[in-house]
Amino acid sequence: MNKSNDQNLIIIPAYNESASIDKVVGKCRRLGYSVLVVNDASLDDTANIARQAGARVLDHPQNMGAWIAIQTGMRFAIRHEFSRVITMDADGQHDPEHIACLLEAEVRTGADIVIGACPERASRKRLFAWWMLRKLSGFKVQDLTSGFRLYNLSAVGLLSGRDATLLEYQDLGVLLMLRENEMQITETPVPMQQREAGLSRIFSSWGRVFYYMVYSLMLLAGKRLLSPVRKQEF
Amino acid sequence: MSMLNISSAVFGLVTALSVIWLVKKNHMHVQYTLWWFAFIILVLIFGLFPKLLDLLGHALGFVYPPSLLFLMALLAIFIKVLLADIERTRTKASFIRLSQKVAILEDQIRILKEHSDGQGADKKD
Repeated sequence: MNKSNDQNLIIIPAYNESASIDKVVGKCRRLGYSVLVVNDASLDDTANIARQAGARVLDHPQNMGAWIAIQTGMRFAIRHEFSRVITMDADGQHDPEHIACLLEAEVRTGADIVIGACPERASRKRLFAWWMLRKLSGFKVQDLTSGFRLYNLSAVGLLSGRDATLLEYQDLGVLLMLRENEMQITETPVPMQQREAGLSRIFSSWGRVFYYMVYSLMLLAGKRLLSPVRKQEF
Repeated sequence: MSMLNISSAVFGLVTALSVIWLVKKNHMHVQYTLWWFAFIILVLIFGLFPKLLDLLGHALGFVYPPSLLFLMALLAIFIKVLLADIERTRTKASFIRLSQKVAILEDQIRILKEHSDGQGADKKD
């Protein structure tokens, strides 16, 4: 990877995404970005396809989930002296063209994390989950589960640590941790495609949604009940 | 000596020997055995001196003192499981971070190999 003039690293966590990974990686590369695909022990040919498309690929020894894959990418980013990380999905939902929107929003607001939001894409289950979590957490974020985000160096440093390893999802836990450390969260609208292939993992069934909600509530209870009340900024 | 005294002494002895054997065979960390020995000591105390249980039970308001024994046993198991979960959480985080490190190192090895192969080819030229 050419490090001399590139501070931005695109991190794409991938599990069995051989159908769409080459297009996503290819487009990022054509736009001149450095791309890291973190292969979460895929059973298919995701890793090789990603490499051929021009990405650097890290292989997890076993499946550990999308958030851990992102964290692996962040640890890589620090080691290789990148100063900004952009996460995106491997399934074609996020268009690399819109990375510029995130970059622009960061420059404009000086936030530590920029969330690319597309509330229009949400299913009923997803909207319900967002609504509930917003009410309970006090976050005003519209698109809580968007995987299209930009993290600056401070955020990356914080989220590479051991405490963040205990999180199961990248959504609420990450935002709570950032808020706890008084980092700025900002949201910017970004158009998103329907998934090209594959299913949402969290919202695939009401059972999964239930687990996700209980998990998030538990996290919130820990953070909010036993902490001093803070003025909600975002 | 009553049946209770004998059976609790036997139970205590057998458990103690089992724990020591497990340590010897490296099936159990010495630090975990402290908990088990505390448990054995309590069993021995209440088995050999059952009057103590009656005294304590009545002092705490138990109508039927042996239920104090059950309560203590349940509490002990509850605490043990809690501690085990805490430790498992720590272990899980360590394992994940180790896996992440492996992934990053493997990548670095691959890069180094490519560089050294490249240099090898140059030298041949």
